[in-house]
Amino acid sequence: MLKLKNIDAFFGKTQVLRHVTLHVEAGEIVSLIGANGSGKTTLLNVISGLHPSRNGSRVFLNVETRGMKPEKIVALGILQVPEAEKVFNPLTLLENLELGAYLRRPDRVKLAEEMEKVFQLFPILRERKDQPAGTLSGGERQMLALGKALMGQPKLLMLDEPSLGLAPTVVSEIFHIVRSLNDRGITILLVEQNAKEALRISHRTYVLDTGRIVLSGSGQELLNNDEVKRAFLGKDYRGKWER
Amino acid sequence: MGKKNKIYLLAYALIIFLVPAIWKNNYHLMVLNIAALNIVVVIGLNLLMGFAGQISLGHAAFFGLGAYLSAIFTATFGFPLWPTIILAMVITGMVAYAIGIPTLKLEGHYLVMATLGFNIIIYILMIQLDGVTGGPSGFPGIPRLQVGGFVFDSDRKIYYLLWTISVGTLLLSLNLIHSRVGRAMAALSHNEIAARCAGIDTENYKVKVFVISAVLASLAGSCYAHYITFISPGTFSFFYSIQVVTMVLIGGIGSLWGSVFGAILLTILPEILHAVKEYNVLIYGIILMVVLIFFPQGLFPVVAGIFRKRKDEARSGMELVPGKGP
Repeated sequence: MLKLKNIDAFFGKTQVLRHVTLHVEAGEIVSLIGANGSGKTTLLNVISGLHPSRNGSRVFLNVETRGMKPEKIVALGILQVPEAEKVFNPLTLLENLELGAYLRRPDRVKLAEEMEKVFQLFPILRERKDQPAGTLSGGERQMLALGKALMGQPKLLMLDEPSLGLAPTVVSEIFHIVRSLNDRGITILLVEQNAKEALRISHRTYVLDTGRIVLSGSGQELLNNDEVKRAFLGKDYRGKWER
Repeated sequence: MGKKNKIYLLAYALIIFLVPAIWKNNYHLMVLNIAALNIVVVIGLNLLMGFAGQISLGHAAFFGLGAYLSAIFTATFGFPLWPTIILAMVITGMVAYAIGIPTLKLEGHYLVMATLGFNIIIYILMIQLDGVTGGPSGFPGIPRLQVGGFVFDSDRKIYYLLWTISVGTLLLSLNLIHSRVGRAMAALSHNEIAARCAGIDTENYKVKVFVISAVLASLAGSCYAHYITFISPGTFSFFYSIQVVTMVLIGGIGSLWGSVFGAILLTILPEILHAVKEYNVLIYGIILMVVLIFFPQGLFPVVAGIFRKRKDEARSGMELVPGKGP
């Protein structure tokens, strides 16, 4: 579905991505883990066209997306839920959801039907549909961001740290939702700091380190990989507090 | 644009058109006419500031371009009146487009600097090109506005025309911000990254809004020239640009009704302050400071909030109507 080959990206003169090659197949959950500053978010931004890449190729559904503007790429079916400020705070939930379908321009009836689907998935949002998004809690905001992205009917959904700053119970709920979205046929590319959860729910995982892909494999493989354990999960990754 | 806004707009238009019947003083009507034109400029600027997140310090130049283009084409070359006003809007729009394309692609507030520079350049041109513009002594003898054989030759007659244009601008702008495009604009002014992730072409929108904003200023400028029939560079100096930005801020960024309020208030205020003679600039300044320090959201939301609170109290306990978006 998505094939990146030898992607380089820069911030000014600093190279932040080095020869990144990866692929995402239809129906997969692929996660991308790595320390702060390893280039995970930049990689998502490159895929969605927000950040320019140099060299290499970015092919999505047999279309080369290099040099395309973000709105073109969104129209192809790649939707990114950014990490910070993912919703439009002054606008109501309904308006947020409507903007999610911005490029598709569904008519009123269609729009209402699609919103209904989102509300079925996130019942809490229905109760607040006329509130400004800024009044929501962190978890609700994440749900709204997911709902907004779903309104765009993505083929590939890219989530940037969906668990960041959320309470543990909410985190597991979010991961549960991510998985159920995948069950509905949406391909997911997930960036996470919470490596354990990410490895658990994804089919395959790439490990990014200072702009390079240093490891890849199935979630289970990486969970048992000593290097991954040491770097991301702690030496004995079941912490004392969990036992 | 919502039932509420339609009712407000109707009430507003009604009040506006009743004023000259009650008010007999022609000078006061002239002040209100200027307010009508300021509203057009300020609404345009507020679209830019409140919905594209950009500031222009060059709206006096666009206002001036409209005025001078209108004056030169009609008085010097004898062009027909109304097509000339449209021509001036088109030319001003193209100039704004040329400024907007390079500056709005950059992140940050480069438009402020570009428009500030542009305003100064236009001002200097108005003074230096005295063969065409009349230089510092101004451009006299601009034909009056007319429709058919009817000439708008008094403050009272032109009042209806200028306020029709002003209310019309408000109506169209309200429609714009309550449309799909308007929501996209609100989204991009709040959070550009998320807007781009939703597939909104933010660069394109910012440029378009800037052009619309300049075109509205040009329309007001043309009307001003044909109304006063004499223009001079002083009117279009940098000071007027600051003034309209202040009107937006006083009314409230992002609130079009606020713009109406801010423009009327700040047009009338100096006239009222004539009463205190030499202190008028001082008091004007103090009022601006107090408003900006204590009501950074602008005055209009405060005034509107007082009414809304009462209504909400009355309505609390009632069920919200389901399935109705704004």
